[in-house]
Amino acid sequence: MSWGHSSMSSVSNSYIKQVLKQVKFIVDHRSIRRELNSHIQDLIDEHQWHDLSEHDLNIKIHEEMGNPIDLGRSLNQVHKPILGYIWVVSRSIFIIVLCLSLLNIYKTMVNTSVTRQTITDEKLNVKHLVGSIGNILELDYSNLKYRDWDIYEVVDFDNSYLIFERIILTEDNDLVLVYRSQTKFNLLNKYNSLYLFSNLDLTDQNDIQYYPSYDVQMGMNDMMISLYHGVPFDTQSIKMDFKQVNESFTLIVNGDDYE
Amino acid sequence: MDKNYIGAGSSLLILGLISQRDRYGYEIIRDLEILSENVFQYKEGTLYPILHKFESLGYVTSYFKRENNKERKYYQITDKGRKQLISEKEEFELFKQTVNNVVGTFKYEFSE
Repeated sequence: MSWGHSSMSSVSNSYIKQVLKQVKFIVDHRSIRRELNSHIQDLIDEHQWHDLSEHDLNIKIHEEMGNPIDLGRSLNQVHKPILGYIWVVSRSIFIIVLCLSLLNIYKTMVNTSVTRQTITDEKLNVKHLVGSIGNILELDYSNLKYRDWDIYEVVDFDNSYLIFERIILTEDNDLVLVYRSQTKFNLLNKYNSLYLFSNLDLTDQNDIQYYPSYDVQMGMNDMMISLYHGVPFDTQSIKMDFKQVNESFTLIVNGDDYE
Repeated sequence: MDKNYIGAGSSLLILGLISQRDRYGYEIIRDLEILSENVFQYKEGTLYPILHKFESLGYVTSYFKRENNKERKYYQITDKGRKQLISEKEEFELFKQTVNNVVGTFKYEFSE
């Protein structure tokens, strides 16, 4: 009498269930089940046991495969729960760190492209930019003449860049500095070490020092705008000094190079 | 054959077979029977713990592959597994040589 596929599955499942009952590390159950199930199907096919009764098939499988409890106990000695769970947790942490790093790379790419496009590449929009800055700082720049230095100077720190985009000098002796920080790619997604930014002092060619009156963060790209009062409209050169606990730099820009 | 001999040579035989080409459990048991002319007959309950231990030791890796409407778990030897196989072959050669030397002495004594 043929018991058909469901009977074979039932006998096979019953055997495998007894094996798995002994294996404590449940994460590996699926793989063991797939392997043993395939093995039992090969046994049935090779020996032509398709027509055996469920009882006889059960006996045959036990004869060939051995005691399921013994097999389960032997497998349990190999599939150690503690080592297994450490492996699963380590793998999960690795995947999370990898995802965060990819996100970090993506954010860095977006930061770079968006900022270059909106600030540096579109010279025609400088008037609009100056107007926007005026709005943000609640100053009316609409009718003032201005000088625009498209500097784009990059200062390289350990885990971040400081990028100076623009210096704009207005007719009423205000200097607007546009800059941003950008965190370098790192696996641990360590925060930018630069704290923006009340300590970026400027000195002109006559050694007169200026301190920022306003620091405004703009948009989502870590764009900063600092306003310095009293900087002459005809200033030729600006020296920027930045000091922080572990970071410092001096950058000198000459207007003739950028206008 | 005495089970102790079979047990001692398990690693060498199974790793040796897997080193020839990727094999799945059922295939390993059948090939061992055929190649050894039924001298080595492994129960499934013996083979799988050995295979899984090899995997945990890094001697083999495994992958599932569907063929002829059946899903099979294939084992593939790693570099570490090949080194282990070489080491076990050397041990076996030493064992064989030593046994031959001793048995040769018996033969000499018998012939005397």
